Amino acid sequence: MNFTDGGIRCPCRKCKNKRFLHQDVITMHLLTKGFMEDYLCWYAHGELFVPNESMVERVVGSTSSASNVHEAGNDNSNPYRNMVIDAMRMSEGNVSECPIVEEEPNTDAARFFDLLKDSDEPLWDDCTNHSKLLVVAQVFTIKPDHGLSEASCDKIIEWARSILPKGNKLKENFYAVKSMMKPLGLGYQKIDMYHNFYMLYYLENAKLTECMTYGHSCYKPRTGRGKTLVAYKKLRYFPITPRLQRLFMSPRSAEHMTWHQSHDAVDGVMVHPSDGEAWKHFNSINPHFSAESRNVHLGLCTGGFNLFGSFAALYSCWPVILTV
Amino acid sequence: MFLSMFIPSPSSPGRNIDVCLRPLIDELMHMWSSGALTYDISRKHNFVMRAALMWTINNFPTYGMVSGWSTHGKLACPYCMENNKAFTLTNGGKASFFYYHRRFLPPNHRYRKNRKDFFVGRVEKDVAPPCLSGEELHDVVLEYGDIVFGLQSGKQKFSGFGLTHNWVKRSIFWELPYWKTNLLCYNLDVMHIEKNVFENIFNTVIDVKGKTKDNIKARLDLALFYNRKNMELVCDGSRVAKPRASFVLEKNAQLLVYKWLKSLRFPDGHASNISRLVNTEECKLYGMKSHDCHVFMQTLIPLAFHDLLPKGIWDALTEISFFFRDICSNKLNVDHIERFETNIIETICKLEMIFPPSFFNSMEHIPVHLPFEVNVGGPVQYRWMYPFERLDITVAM
Repeated sequence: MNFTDGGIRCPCRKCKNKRFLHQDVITMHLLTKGFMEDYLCWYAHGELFVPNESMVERVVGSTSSASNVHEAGNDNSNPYRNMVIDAMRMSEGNVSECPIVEEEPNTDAARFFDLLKDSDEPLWDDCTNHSKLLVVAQVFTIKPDHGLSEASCDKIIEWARSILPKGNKLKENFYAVKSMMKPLGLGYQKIDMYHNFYMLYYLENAKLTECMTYGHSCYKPRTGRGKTLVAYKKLRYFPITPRLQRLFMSPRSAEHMTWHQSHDAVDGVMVHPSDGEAWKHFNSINPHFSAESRNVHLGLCTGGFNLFGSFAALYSCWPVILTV
Repeated sequence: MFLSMFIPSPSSPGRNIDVCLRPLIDELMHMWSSGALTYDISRKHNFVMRAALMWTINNFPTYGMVSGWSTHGKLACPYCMENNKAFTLTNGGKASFFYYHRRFLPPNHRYRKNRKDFFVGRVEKDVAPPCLSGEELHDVVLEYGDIVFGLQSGKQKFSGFGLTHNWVKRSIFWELPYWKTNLLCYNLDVMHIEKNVFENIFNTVIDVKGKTKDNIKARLDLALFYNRKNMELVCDGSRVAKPRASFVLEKNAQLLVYKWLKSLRFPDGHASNISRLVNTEECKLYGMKSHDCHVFMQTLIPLAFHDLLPKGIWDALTEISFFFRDICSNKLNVDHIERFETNIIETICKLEMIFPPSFFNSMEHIPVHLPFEVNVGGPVQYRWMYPFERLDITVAM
């Protein structure tokens, strides 16, 4: 059942607005399982999200402090710190207002706070132009740009540490640098599959090891004494929701997200798909969607390309790219 | 623009791409029906963000994988669908869309009654095939059942495939509740179409060996459909001679074109250095990228063949060059688009009078539908594959 068949989202403790069910079933769920926590504004049932007063205060309080830091960051022209602040704002949003996040936002938030602290912390006492995170981010840029190996990177870091004054806070090796940067990333999922494209070992099938019809194992036969199971193929899936949310985290891109509505359209002249008939038609038949100009219109592009130059035609990869 | 999925494979997923798209579609469904709570930094408050997929952008073979209408064979065109009158050439063995375009002309157009220059003795009375809307397509697609995915099941076909329809599957995108109401679901990629049309024209006019569409088999087919005695093969005892066609440049004219290309200089950032790709000794162009084809098609074709080709042929080639230039402009006047549509049909009819049937593969037919897409979807800059192909390079790195 989905919402076109007349189902509604079940706000019970177990379903958490994820399943569409019939009214009677939902009544049963609510009686037996109870109402889900923190569902104060019924945004999945037609109520528009209006932050209540306490929330507004919290948001204003947190963002004003963040924007202060942000301005300070602009003054120092430190792009890496801005990046952290942008990332941190998301975690703040998660902690204070977002009730549908499934991960534990507190540990995330703690990590982001750590990163922010790191960013503000000078590399050593009395150092004015280098923060800890700035150096770390530069290491991350230099390494792939010049194709350094991890060992050579470790050596350079070690050497730099020996030059710097005592008590400096440079990370000891590349591994530590990497683990410091990881919380900033958005992550991806790896989904196993057999090379015949029959099925994905995903969601309810994630625990299966054999194909349902043909009985193929999704893992390669073990060779030697190794214990790890290796799948034939791994699909990399980059979830889109956090990426779209990230676009609204940065002041610059957040403004661009509503450009399609705010730009001056001249009658009879098309400069953007939003002036086209398809876009207007879509908005007119989905008024709920078009009411919020920040809702995102996406395009999807696929195409195979050869990884190893044009001669290795035997191996091609298929990226699926979304465009806003 | 961001990467959403990476499908590894030694081989192309083919129609099984639906299996891989499953997580993405699930997430899109969720983003459509309930959305995600997002913090907007520019307005400093939270809102529920929802997202909708407007359309897909693919090159022609992938179009078939994504839409479920196979883009191979005689029914390749996803707009004309089964009303297509393409046929397989007797000698060439390929599908040809030749003698098909006169039906798109207005009812009393003079070309419709022309018995001499088009298909021998045929007056065109048919009208253009209807274009199905999303709802109608959805109904058609629903009639075909589910298929079992997987490379083993590749031979499983719906009955009548290739004869009455070209459906290979019910595309996963129909699961999106708003998909059938979209006016434009799948975009034809102008970049690849332009490149293919350019290559066909250039290789045929310059007579590049092995690549020209005007080969021996084309001349054999020509005798079946046209009344052009001066182009048919001449048997002289045991030798067979292929007389030079009017649209093919003479040897010294070809050399002139290559020498001119060798001396070309472009403004910075306009195109790659095309003169570097020219080999005047072998009369060949090496390593033309899609963008070089784009520049060549839009600006160089009228200049390159001026005074070298007969007037009528040069006119037709210039018209198709101007058509692509108009359609690719970043500011489009809505009133002009209707004119593009009538013009391109007339231009393709002119090409039909010039080139042999084997020239008209699906890529020469598709431009007929481009003005419709431009009218509905807006400028092509947002709907073609240049930015994505560039991103592919970074992904590959």
